[in-house]
Amino acid sequence: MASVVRCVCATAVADNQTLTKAGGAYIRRLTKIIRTRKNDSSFARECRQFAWDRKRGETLQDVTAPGLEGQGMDGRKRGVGEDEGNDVGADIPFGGHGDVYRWLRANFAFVTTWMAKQKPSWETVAGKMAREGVVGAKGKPPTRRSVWKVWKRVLRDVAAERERELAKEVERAAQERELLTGVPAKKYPRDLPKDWAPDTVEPSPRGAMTEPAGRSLVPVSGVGTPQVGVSPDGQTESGVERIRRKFGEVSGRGPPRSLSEIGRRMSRQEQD
Amino acid sequence: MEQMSEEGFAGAATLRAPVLTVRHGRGRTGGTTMLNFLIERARIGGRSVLIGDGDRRNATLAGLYPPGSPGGASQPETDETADVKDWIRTLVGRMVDLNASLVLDLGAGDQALAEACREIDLIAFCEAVGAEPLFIGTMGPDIEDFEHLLTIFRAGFFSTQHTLLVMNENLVRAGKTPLGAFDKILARPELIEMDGAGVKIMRMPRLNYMDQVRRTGLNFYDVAAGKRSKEGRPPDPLCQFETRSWINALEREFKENDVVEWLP
Repeated sequence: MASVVRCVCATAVADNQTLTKAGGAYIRRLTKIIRTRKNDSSFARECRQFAWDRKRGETLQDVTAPGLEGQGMDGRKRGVGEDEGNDVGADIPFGGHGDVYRWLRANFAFVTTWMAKQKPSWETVAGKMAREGVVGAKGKPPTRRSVWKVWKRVLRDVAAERERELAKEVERAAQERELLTGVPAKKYPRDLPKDWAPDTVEPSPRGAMTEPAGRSLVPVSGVGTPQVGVSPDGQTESGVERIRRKFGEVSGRGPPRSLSEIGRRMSRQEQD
Repeated sequence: MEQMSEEGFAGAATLRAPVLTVRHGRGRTGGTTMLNFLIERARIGGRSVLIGDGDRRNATLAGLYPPGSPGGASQPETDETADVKDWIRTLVGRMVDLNASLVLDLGAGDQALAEACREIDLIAFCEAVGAEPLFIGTMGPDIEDFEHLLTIFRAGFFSTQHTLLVMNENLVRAGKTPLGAFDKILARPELIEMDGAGVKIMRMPRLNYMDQVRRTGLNFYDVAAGKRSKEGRPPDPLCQFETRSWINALEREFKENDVVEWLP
């Protein structure tokens, strides 16, 4: 038995082929052995030797299924919603799962819409799958219960996958944000200095818009309410007056100072 | 030595509405310097800012913040109106998505941009999405600078209550005083009318070391703090001092004009 298993495994691994004619449980067992031992170097050497022998015509015709390429039980998958000539095994989505699982994953959007709109029974779903050639682990058409059980697994895996995608999306968004704004996401607000003091400037009252902000030369709300501030000498002044005073100060034409003030300044300088 | 005032890092990382800042003005009137300062000021305060440089003829802002680099500027694909409109739409969309402020340098306001802005009601958009619009007009003492801004105001494609006119002292020619240089503009009735309507008028003080600051490749705050440039040398002490004074003077201008919360 051991030698047969070894030969079958070697054939499958060396030729990347699979088995269909043997029973499902038997094939599963062989597949498990292949998976667990395919990294074993002595086993691999044996496989190569067997493959070489096989090329010379020493094949195990009774258990191998030439022409069915793929991994595991993919041979059964051929024909499920695929063209006959399509090599399913070459690019297997959800590899490592059974046909039922793969069909449900491949048709996830269809099944969810179908369930939301027409609420089919699991028997109906299983029937559709059987009509499309999907078979269970033992090569029999899927049952209501098996479809339901696999569907739960599909839902769980889809949710997990979406969560992973969401996490990636969040990370990507953070990177994009950093690229666009120049502020590293981790720097705000967690890494701000402890002594950072928030700005406490009170918002100034804004006038209500009485007409759409539009084509007027000046904004509407402020018309007729000249902007006044308070100059250092306590006088109210408009914005233009203020800027004129500021320019005057930097131009050396500040407001005239009294002699007493000049005296105070000079004595301060002497003290310094 | 003068210390950087608290206002030097004003603006705080409190929850604030994003600000859509649009800058207009003739070329070489200090618009990019002003926007650059506002961007640095916001980012140093932990507030996100997106940058859009629509002035393709004189893309200084994109030069300071190279497109594609972290926090880099964005530019329209071409000068075509359709492209510019798409670009503005994309940027304001990102502004909302990221809840970040957006600084748009529309430069001298070429035709495509003017048309694009006329077709997209950015003010209404800001109100709809809870952003604050801010118009910054920059000018030197040349009366043409003021005329140019007047034309833009009259076109009215970004007429907002938050309007800031910046008179750039750096453009005052040697031998002239700022008061004398800006006197003609200050006497214009339109300016007085705008002042009466709530437009804030501020000065951008002269920074004699502007070229030196740019050569260091550091931002204003790093220069003020005496950080080393890529060449490994800190800016000279007088440059640091002047830059600190300049930042503080700008902050005082913001405060005196009561526009601190207008800024990004």
